[in-house]
Amino acid sequence: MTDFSIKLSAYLDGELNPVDTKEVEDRLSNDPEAQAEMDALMAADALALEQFDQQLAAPIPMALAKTIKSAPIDRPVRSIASVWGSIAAGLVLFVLGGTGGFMIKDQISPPTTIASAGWLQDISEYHAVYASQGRHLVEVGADEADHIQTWLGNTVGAEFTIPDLSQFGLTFEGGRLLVANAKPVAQLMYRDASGTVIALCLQSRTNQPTPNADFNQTTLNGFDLVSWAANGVNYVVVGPDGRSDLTDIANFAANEV
Amino acid sequence: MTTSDQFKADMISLLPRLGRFALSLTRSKPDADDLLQDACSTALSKWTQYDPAHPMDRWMFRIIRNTWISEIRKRKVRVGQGQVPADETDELRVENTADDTILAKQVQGKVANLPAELSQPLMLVCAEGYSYQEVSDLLDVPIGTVMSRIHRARKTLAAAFSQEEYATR
Repeated sequence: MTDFSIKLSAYLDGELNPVDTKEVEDRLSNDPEAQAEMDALMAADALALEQFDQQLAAPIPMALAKTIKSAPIDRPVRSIASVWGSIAAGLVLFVLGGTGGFMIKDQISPPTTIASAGWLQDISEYHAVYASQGRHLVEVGADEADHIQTWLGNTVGAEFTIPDLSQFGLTFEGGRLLVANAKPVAQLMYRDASGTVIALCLQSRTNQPTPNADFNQTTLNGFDLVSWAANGVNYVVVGPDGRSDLTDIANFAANEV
Repeated sequence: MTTSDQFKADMISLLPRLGRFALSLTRSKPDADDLLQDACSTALSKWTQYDPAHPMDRWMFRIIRNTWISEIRKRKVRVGQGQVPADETDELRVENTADDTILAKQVQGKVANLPAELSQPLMLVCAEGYSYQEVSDLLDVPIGTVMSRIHRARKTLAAAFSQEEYATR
């Protein structure tokens, strides 16, 4: 395995300095054997990428996801002095203000149990996290739309088509896999010209009664959500509070997805 | 959503990629599942040490890698006349041997059949978009070794692939 041969791989990965890059490019344009080797490396790379992507399509370990979600974890470490300071402050206020001191106890020992309000609550919470992401908005980009449909469709257990929402000024950015109510959710992310993110999420309704086919609108965590169910699948479109065309988007997506 | 809930949600969304990385280290699905579970448990216990300014996947990959190193040291794989840590065995050591053809036959064009020391850096660069320097930092190997391992992985796959094509003609 020659140094030049190894440089071909590094060139493929964009890891060469300008001098070595020029050496490789000159050689590739004049040496058919070098070009053939490069072609073989690129073919191997495509083969590897395809297989690595297939590994991502394996079902999410739901038991582990559930364990993570329900695991009690420690609150951020606070110094002993600051804890005692908080307790002392609480006691002083309790003595001085009667019930006032009692009311601030949660600042010293906040409750650790967080109530779950169903999958829409989870979706709104995910949206609060991911909608502000720039470069890492999605796990798999829109250039792999076919893969997203296969991967998320298999994982969620519901076939779907990615709706084209360009008539609403929305560009499809890609997809993510989420977990809500301990079940996988496919999240399709769209962004408009101003950077506002709208997501279409879907989850299989296994073992749940079929609701009526109406669209339901709700606001959670500062986001508007328009949800519906059809053919054994729950759907929701989530976007910023007050976006006037969210119901239109949901109507359109319901026919396209 | 509390900060800890965000942390958990991010971790869950990363599970498929974390599982793939664990598999690239262990080369065994049961071991990868155990490793992923142990690493997630460690991450949950250390979540206050996580700096949200940095990508969580990098942080989790490092925990997985360290957990695996710790595990293989515990196992003390028996080699030759004595017991040596698994990370010092030939299985985990790269050498530019001349038997790439034999290896290519064993690999049969599948990354799952590549030796771990070849598949790990290839997966990190090819599928995760790591730079050679980032792979070097994560796996604790010199950057030159990263470069040669990635190249050898591709050459092995290419050789296996061309053999398959030849065999099907």
